[in-house]
Amino acid sequence: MNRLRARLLAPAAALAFLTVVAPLAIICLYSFMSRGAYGGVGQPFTSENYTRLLDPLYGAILWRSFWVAAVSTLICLALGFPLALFIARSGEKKNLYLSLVILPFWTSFLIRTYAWMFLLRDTGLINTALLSAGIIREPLPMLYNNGAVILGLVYGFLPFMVLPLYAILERLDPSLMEAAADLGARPRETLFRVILPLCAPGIRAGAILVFVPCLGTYLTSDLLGGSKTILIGNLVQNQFTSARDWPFGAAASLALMAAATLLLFAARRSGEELL
Amino acid sequence: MGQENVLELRRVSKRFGGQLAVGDVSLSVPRGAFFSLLGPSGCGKTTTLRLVAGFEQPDQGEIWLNGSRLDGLPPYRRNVNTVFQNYALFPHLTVQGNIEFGLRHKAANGIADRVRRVLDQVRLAGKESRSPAQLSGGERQRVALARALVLEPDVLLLDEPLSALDPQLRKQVRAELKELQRRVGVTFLFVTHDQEEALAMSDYIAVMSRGAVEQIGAPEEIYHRPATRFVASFLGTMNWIGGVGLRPEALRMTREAAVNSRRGVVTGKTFLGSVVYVESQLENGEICSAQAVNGAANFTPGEVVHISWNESDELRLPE
Repeated sequence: MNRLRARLLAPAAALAFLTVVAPLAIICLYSFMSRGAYGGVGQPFTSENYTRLLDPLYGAILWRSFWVAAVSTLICLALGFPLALFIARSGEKKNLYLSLVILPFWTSFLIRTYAWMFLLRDTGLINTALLSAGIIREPLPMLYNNGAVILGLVYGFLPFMVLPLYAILERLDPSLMEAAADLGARPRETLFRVILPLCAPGIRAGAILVFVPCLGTYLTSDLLGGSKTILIGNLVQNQFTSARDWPFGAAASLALMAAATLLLFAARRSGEELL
Repeated sequence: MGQENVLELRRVSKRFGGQLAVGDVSLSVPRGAFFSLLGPSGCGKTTTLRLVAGFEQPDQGEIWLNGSRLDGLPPYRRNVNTVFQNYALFPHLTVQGNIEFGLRHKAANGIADRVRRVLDQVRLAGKESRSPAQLSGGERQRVALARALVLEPDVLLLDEPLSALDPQLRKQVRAELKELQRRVGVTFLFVTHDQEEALAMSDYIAVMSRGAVEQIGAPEEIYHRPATRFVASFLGTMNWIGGVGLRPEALRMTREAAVNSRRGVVTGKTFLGSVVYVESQLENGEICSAQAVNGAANFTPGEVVHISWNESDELRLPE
């Protein structure tokens, strides 16, 4: 039995080692090396890459990444909770609505982000329509700012909030809501005193599933944020491409990972775990 | 027990998608009474209870509580409280939290006293800080009772509150619940499909079938003078011999023919401890069940018996 288990687990373990452990070890090693003359890495070993991260310039980027991810997560929660509740109470149409939530995944995220550019840019669909209708004289600056990045993130990661919330809400015993009303609670009070507390594990799971990828995003911020709103993900990307400073990119990505891991542990300790 | 009615349903009807759940039901529940709604599943008893609680609104008719209209009001504005079939305790709150849930809108002073008093009433003192998951089935039921009773409702609505308990416990809790109701003096509207439960506990029983009330009365009245064949058959055992109803205890079995007796053959026996039911098949094919005191009834299957009764015990009922 044990031998069978080992044999069945071996391929996945090998894959995990090759794609997670080994690259991580390499990145870790790189982060303590010096920049090579033509990209890549070289001697000597140094911790200078990490001290560079303490520069207020990078602190600001990290801070912006955190609040953009946090705001996106909160908006996802504010939009996702009512949506999940609605779907959970839709009876026979549940599965239809759920597939609509998942439907965007059938198209590449890159293409969907380009679609947002097409909608938001100065000569885009929205501005063109508003201009020709005479509602505005100048195009609204909707692209290349923090708002556009947050919009793109909320759009992209909303399903990751809706699905765990739905899973909890769907299993919630309807007689609990009736009991609350029976004991004198108005609908609003039932929401805050019964439904939301019982959804805590789903909220935690959804928040982690949205916050962590938002924190490391580079595609959305690159396309919708432009060069003005650089996030930590873009910083890492730039070091490995145009800046050709792999050791510093490695240090920045490890710092991001450490921060995200710390947050995850904090979230797990703040209640019973779900993930 | 006062004569005044605390709760009245006047010609109440409720449909679910064209399906009649409750049809033209009228009820008067006297203050302080233990009033049961009895019937098979799907008879409309639970819907009737939910109409009083406010989880459903009637399509027609009126519901009056203490002289004011109740229908149309949401559940949170009705001074009735419910003990749910599965108890519906809030899993994220302790026993204390569950009991205090509805007290939030009441004056802050005296809350602690009321909680303590109700905890004593249902014998849960000392378990305030437990979570519902840490309680036994019987304890959970008592928390559900306490949570509703602490609000001093005009009528306490109970939806099959004993069905989730195991049979051993059920009989004990039945007596406790009846005793609690008498002590606290709250009007109980009690839904059950268990006729034995209803007969043992109720002051009044309304027997329901297919959304309508068949008969309302005291347990003895309903058992001895059923108004319809449905009521007669649903409560206890009823024999139908030549179109008239006869309770098993009204039948006499003898080995010799008697005046107006019918001849039959014993087909089986059901031993119930203090009494025995002897089943026989009459010559016209009808099956009857006669009650005999244990020991006095050593009839064996296959034996020929003669069955007789007093004409005064015959129940002539409309179809």
